[in-house]
Amino acid sequence: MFKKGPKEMFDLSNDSVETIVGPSVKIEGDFKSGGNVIVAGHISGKFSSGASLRVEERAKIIADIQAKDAVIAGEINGNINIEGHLEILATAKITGDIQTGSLAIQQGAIINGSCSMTHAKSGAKIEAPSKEQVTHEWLLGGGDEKVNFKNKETFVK
Amino acid sequence: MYFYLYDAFLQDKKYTKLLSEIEARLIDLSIQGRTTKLNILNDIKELILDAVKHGAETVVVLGDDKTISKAIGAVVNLPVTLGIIPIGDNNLLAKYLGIPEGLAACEVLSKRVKEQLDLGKVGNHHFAFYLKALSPHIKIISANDQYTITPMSSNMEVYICNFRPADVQLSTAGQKKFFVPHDGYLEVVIKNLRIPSLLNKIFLKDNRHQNQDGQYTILPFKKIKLEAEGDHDVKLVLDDDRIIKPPVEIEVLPRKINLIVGRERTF
Repeated sequence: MFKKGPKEMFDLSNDSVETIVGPSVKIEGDFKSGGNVIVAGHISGKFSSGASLRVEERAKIIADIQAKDAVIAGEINGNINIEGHLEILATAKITGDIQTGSLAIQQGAIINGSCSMTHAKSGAKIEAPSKEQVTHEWLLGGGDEKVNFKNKETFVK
Repeated sequence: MYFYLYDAFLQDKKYTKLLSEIEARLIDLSIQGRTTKLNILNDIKELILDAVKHGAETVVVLGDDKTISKAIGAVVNLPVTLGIIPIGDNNLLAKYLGIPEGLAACEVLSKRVKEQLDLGKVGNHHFAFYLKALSPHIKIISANDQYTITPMSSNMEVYICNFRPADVQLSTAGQKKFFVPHDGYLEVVIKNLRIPSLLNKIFLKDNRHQNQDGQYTILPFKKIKLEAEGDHDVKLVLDDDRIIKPPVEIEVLPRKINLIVGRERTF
């Protein structure tokens, strides 16, 4: 997967980066890629990547997203379906439902939508908490990651 | 059998000594052959076709990037290997192929290390290097009409590349990853020319352009369509030589030509 952290944006030392959607470029329609994709521009329609996706801070995506793994630092309006690991960075703004194998969220990220997690190994589905269950702190996955949500809208559509 | 084709600009007296040295070195290496000089009255394609009819198996062009591009277009579908002796000011393509300028190129020729390289096809034309749109008001459409790519600013440059143009400066990692001329893909490259203002740099810490790869959109493809946006007059330049107008369909012709390359090639 791509290296993490905003300082390493556009790091092409990863051999498998296949497509870069740079700033000030708009893609409309059903965009599919077999390889890793970095998005710093605008995408609307549908987006799927057979490998990893990195959405940069300036990126704006109005589309349903499907990828193997993803790191999101930009704005997404649409449902996100990630087979493996999803990392949501502090600058991310997501409006839409999330389905992922595993999840990490940095403090400051804004998420409006529901989240369901299917463990990659067991196939067990972990349902999102109800509105009443949402608190400022929630233990994720194996219980070793503590996440602070910015507001109570998180996980609630 | 070798066939040597001299570009017209080599008739300038300043090249006389160098050409004599090259001819002597070719004899030393036993790779001499028939020579012809290009001029405004003859056509490169006809000359090469005639040479092939007379048994030429290797066509060597003496000139710069433009000469090479013309020769590549002329040898498509012919059973020949193309060699290059780079002379002149613009020899970036020869550099990518690992061929040194002038006399030193003779040694590379004699070693005959061959590579099959991709070509770009636009209508009836071919390009070996890149195609540049002279206006960013252009729409790039995927072959199956599934998506379109549009530059959102007028301060952008659009290229369709086989090799990397000199104006496209990526990091070393980026250069190795893209623009591989035998991978069966061409690349759409959209370069953002916006430079952050001094005020933004100092006060807003706008350092997004410090990382040069961040200026680019790069998308490998096998076939795409280019259309002008709205009523904009858009021209496309093939290999800095021929101008055509959209709408056009562009596709890669994988491993279409045989070229003699050097050890220092970049792919």
